[in-house]
Amino acid sequence: MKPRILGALVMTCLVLLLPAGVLAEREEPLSPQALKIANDLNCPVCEGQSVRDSNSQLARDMRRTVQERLDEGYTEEEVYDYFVDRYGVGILREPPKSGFFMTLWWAPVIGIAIGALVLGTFIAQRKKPVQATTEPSAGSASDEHDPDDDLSEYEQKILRDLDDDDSLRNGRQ
Amino acid sequence: MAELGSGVLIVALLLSLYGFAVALVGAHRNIPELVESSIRATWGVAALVVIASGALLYAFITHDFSLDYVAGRSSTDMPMGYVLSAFWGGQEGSLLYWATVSTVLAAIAITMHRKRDRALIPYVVMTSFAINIFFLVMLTMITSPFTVRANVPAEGMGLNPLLRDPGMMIHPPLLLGGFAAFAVPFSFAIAALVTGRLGEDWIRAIRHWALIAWGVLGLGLLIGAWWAYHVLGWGGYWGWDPVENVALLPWLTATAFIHSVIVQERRGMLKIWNMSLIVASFILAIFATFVVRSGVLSSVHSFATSEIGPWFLGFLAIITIGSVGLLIYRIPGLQSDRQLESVVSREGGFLFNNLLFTAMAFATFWGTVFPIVSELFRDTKLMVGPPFYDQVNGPILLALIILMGIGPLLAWRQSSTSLLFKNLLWPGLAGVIATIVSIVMLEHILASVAVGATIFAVGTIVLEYVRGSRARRRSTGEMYPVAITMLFRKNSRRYGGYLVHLAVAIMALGVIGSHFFQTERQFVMEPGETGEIGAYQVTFQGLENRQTADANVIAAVVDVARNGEHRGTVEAYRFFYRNFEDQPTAEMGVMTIGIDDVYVVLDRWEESGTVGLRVFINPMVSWIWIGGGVFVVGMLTLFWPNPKPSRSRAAGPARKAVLREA
Repeated sequence: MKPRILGALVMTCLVLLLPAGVLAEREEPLSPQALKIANDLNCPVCEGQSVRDSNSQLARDMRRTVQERLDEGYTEEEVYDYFVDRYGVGILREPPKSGFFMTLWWAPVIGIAIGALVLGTFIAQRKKPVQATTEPSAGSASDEHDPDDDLSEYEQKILRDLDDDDSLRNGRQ
Repeated sequence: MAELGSGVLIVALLLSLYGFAVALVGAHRNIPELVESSIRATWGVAALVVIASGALLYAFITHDFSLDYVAGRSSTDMPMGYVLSAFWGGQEGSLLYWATVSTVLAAIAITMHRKRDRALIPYVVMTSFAINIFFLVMLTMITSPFTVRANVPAEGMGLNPLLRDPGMMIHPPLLLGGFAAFAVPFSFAIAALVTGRLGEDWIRAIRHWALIAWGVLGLGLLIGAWWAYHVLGWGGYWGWDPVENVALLPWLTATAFIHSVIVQERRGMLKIWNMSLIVASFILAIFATFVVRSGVLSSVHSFATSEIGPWFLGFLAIITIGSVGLLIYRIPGLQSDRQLESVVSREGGFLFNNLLFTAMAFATFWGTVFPIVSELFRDTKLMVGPPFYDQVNGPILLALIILMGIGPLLAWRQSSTSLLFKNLLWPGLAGVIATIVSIVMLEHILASVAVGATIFAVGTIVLEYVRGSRARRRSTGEMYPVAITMLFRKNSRRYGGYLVHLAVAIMALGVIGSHFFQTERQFVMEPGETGEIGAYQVTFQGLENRQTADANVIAAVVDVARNGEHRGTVEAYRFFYRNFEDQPTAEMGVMTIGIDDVYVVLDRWEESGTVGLRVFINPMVSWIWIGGGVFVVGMLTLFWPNPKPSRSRAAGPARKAVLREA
């Protein structure tokens, strides 16, 4: 038991010591604009968190820098540039849409375009002349439909779907 | 326990090798006895791996610190729940857990299907043994959870503080379990490819297994989001962190699969595509296991760094090359039975669904690996964060929600446009009205469009239930409540599926609300001071220093009021765990008032009692958890056994044929 009590004591001291002085200079709460900028910057020492969200000392300093720069009359752009100059383009949470980084932004667009193209080819290939079927639900029916017909058609479809699924299942058992 | 654990794992490895060989010979020489023997070997392997897991659990319960894994992850002062969850708190235990789930599920699946899918089974057995062999080699030779320490410490290190949370007791097992469960459909897919039996058999066999893997993984992701929201303290639940992304990838491809498989069942189309999706889901599940456990893509989860990377990469390469090769070889046998007749059809809807889901998977994958690409080719370190995913995946999600509203109203083969427009009338009207009302109320165009799209999708679901039950009432004369129940009982797949759609819509509203309308303020406060954020007032009452068995806790007590009316008290915590004093963790004070979450983060504090607080108002986040509940109910409905229809069974195939041709 003894070491544990001692351990607890040491820990309490540690805990009380750790944060002491952190608030020595009372940090002014950030303006909404500063918060936005801080949220657009990566905290360089902690993986995956923004400067706004990080608890590290560096992020805290960066937040203060952001606020100071804004107070000094820098524009948002200038604040971003300041950080890019110091830390490289990786500091931006949103990679720029220029140069090499265009590959990041365009690859998904090209991907979806290729996907759509493949799909289009598939549809074009498969879409051979269809013999006129007389199935009611498949009907590319005329526009003048009795509304009641539509509803009952729909009901028929549902009932048939249900039956169909029943029998499909039956077939499997 | 160490001897028992490592002993049974070695025996399990040997038995797996035996089972693989016997299945191979049995299948080739057509000796049923050997195949039967290999089936029994799967039971043996499952039992042995379960014993190994039991041994590790026992070591945790008895605080056997002679085991390196136990000493490094637990301690006597931790609550028993966390001691047990330390089982999957590290790489070795996670892999053992993975192996346990996959061997047990494989044994169950193989036993269930051994009669009906006799031709496939030997190859299913072989594939699952091949997977087992890889994991058992890892567990016995590379990264054994049963490594013994030379000198036994009196006390263990304790668990990584981030994992000491109820969310972490269930999130990792569900996620890893979901990954491991993809092994079953993958084994059947490979068996179908090897044997060339590419008909309906394997699809029918794996549908439920794919659904299990998909559902468990989905639930795991949701609980992960819940954990992040309560513990990580940036006010959000999904950070597009690399590890989150790779866990999402197999879920996306599996979601595409559970939709497109319906097309194959009904119309005999998309066979190559479905096969590819299942293979891709398994490969991505392995990739996810590998990424989480190797730290290749550094992220907040990178505490699980290790040396197993190359092994996993090799395994990944083998299964990728192997299955893609098999797939290409079998393409001639995977031609569609029927042809697409019209784009405006249910099939067409599913095709667009698949395009969108795979596009999202691709974009997410690309964003996740791009930092590596950039580092390799440009020597530029960068992080692809939420802005990228918001801009790329956001529109895709919006399109998916709109499609969710249209898809169910499309008829198979070909929809008559006039009927389609007629069906779209009411949901569409609801969507338009919702958009207009939202624009007026929220003054945010994008969010309003998203709300409108979601309401449109909800409208379609409601319409489907109303019409389904009306049709039943007309034909059977049942009361509406009975009719709705019967809809679920008769066709749980369809109406359970709509329930999942409804869950997605509820979650979508939650995401829209919290994404577009989150507000945040930071306060530096003395005890007794009050800060104002929106309609809410937060009063800092004071700091409390508490001591639990394994941690020192700092709690900030905060009163929450809305428009001056006191609504309750929340506490935001910081935990300093023994041995991890330099990694304080947190728990946020969250109070749900109406649709808003008041979310209080304790940032900093002084001896004098002054604190730095960050307060968020997160609208609608609670809807995400409600949606999660509906998701679970919908999923269970999907598994609800359908009663046998009263019609004679003999009519089944004939009816089916008639209806198919009709």
